[in-house]
Amino acid sequence: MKGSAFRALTFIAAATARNMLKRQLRRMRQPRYLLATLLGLFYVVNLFVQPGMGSAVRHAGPAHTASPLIAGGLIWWGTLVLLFAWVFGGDEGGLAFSEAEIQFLFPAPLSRRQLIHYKLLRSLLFALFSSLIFTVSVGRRLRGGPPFFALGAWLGVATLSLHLTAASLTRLSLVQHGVRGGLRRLLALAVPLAIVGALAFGVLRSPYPWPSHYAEVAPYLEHLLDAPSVTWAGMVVAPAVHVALAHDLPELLRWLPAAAGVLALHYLWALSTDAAFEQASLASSERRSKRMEGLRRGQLTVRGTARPPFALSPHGHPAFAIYWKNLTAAVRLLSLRVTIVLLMPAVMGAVGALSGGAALNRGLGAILCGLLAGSSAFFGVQVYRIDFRLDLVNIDQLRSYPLRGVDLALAEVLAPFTVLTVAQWIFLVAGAVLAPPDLIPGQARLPVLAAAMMALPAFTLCGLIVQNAAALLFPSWVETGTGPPRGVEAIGQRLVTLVGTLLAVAVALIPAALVGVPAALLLRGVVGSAAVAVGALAGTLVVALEAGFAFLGLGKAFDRFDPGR
Amino acid sequence: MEEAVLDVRGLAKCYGAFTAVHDLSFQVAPGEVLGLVGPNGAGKTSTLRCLGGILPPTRGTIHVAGHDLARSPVAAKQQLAFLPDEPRLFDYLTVREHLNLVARLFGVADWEPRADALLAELELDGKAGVLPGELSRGMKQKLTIACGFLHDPRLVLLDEPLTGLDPLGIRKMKRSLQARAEAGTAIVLSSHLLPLVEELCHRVLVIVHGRVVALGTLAEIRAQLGGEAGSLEDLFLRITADAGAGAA
Repeated sequence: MKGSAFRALTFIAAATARNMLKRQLRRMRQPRYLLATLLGLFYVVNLFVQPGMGSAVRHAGPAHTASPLIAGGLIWWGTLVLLFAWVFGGDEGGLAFSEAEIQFLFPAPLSRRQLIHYKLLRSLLFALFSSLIFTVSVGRRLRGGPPFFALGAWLGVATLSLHLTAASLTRLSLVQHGVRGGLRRLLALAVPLAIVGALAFGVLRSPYPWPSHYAEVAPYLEHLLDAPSVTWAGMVVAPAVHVALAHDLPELLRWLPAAAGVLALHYLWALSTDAAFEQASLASSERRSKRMEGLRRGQLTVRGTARPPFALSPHGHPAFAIYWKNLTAAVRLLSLRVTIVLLMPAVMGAVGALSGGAALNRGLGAILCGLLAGSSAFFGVQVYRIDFRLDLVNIDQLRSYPLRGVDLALAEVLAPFTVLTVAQWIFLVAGAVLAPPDLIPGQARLPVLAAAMMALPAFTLCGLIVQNAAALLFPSWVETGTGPPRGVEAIGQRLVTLVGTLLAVAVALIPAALVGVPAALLLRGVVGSAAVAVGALAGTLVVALEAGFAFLGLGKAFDRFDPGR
Repeated sequence: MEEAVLDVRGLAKCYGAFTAVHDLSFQVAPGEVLGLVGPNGAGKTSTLRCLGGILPPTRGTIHVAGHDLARSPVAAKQQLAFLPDEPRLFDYLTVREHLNLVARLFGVADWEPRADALLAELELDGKAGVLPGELSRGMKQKLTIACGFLHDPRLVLLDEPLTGLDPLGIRKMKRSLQARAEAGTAIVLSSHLLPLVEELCHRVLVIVHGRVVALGTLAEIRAQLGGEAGSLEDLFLRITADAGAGAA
């Protein structure tokens, strides 16, 4: 890059960073954001700057050497990201420029190559932030420690980011060279087909038989991940993963050149494409801007105009309109990708059940369904944000409606609650049907199912109420009109949110447990295994009562909410 | 004066230590169109958002059709429509579904013929099944207007209502506002388009730095300024320059 262009582009990056810092400092004048920032700083400092860093004994608990299964899992997670990008990526993505970048940089006297350099270097910087998040999440307790993991995570995230960019530019280039229709799709599918083919080859040629018992699953997967074709299929991501999971310096140095080489090759690949990205970037930027405008919190895309779940009558309580609106959103915001991920365990379970009813397959299917139902109660609440968290961007509309705060709060929260509950019930019933007798004995099946069908939604409701209360009390953590929190405040925010959610949900569930557990124990001698269901019913009624009071509080919080602050 | 649809007394809005609106008092009668004008940052949008029940006022009272907006917000909001300068729509609801939503919220039993008429009036009848993401800025503005008019509010609050509309849309919108005012709807209209304000409004409220500097008909304001001739634009420039000098 020429000197003046380089200085201009570094000025943008530096000014952006400086102004973000200033804004962060201004936010910290409010105690709640100051608290989050301090917590985040404390966590990061504790993670990286404590004495004896890198030592295997600095944590109270034992540090772990990552098992081959963990390494394989990470490699194939990254490889699946690549695979999805090729399968679902559009042909006209271009480079992702912001609207401001397009307005100022495109008419500026900068060459295409300089613009690409700028975007690629920025993506490497952004990868640093993502790698920090990964390190905070999972890298802490590995034997190599946070520094190794952070380096590997950065190499991995940067490689994935450059791969997605280069793949997008390559597809665009194919379009611009007149390669259309089936041939282009075939070329775009070559990479995923090669990956899937290598995996299938590894499975078919494996000398080890398909596992027929739980204990055989892990060894089988370890051998499969060692197969040459499977190793080759994961080669884009593997070096970075090995750097991240290296347990000492020599091992890190063994993998570092390969990981850096893969990253450099990707950089050159992205730089060498001849795609005229400007028009595609402009269109992509406009699409992204529109998408962000309405759906900042959900990070989802409106998919067509699927029919609303039911017709809305003009008669009846007005708050029902909000419930209907959010259920319609639920139908339309469910992306193809999410659907596939959600359906995968159900399909696997069905395949298991149909393939002769082998106990292992049925058991795996049941466990997957149970895990999905359980995780939806915890993670579903975080991810499925079709309530105040999505609607705060339209706060002016909400406040102009002739609704009491408590009615609005009830309508907002009940929509995601309905969707998550229905999903949980489907997975629980599927799990109960699939579960072999050694997993859940026959006479206990129905009571356990009934108990789970009450307890999980009760837990979900507690989580949703807490999340919505946080949205109303800490709007800047949800509302992204002035930009979402980043950096250490974001880490602190997640800590506060996670701990706060867990504490609030635990406190809410204590009275339920105090009623439900003794009820189940007392009735066990009378009604047998059905006591589980009776206990769950008693606990759920307590949660419902608590939720009633919580909705009154949420309504008051909404009525007092000042969008001007 | 006929009983006011909008009665504002001592309205003030503060953001922390900054006071955006100082001690604002005025009334708007049925069928009256009040123009709210002022330079950028004068407090017009804050005022409108307080009147619409979106921002809680720091001090003062607002009555809409006799209902105290603070004490009976549901009854008061039932009588008003707030049309913001930036159309905010639900990206996952179609044009018609937005009207359906508003119909349930405001209890409009015969919403379908009304919605058809509004869509035709605002030239959106071919877009009923379309999501907002596929609409232009002007069409989104029209949809916001249609949603605001569906329940025949007694008070309409408009913040820069013509932004994004094409010339034909502007003309239709002006006629529509005039027709609604003639039918008895009270209208408060904030705009920087002074010729529009001059054409549509019966009275004008000029605010600078959150304070009222002029309130009345154009003739009354001229009289306040010593009988100075000229358009609203001329008067506005004179008033705001004086107010700016006074503040300095």
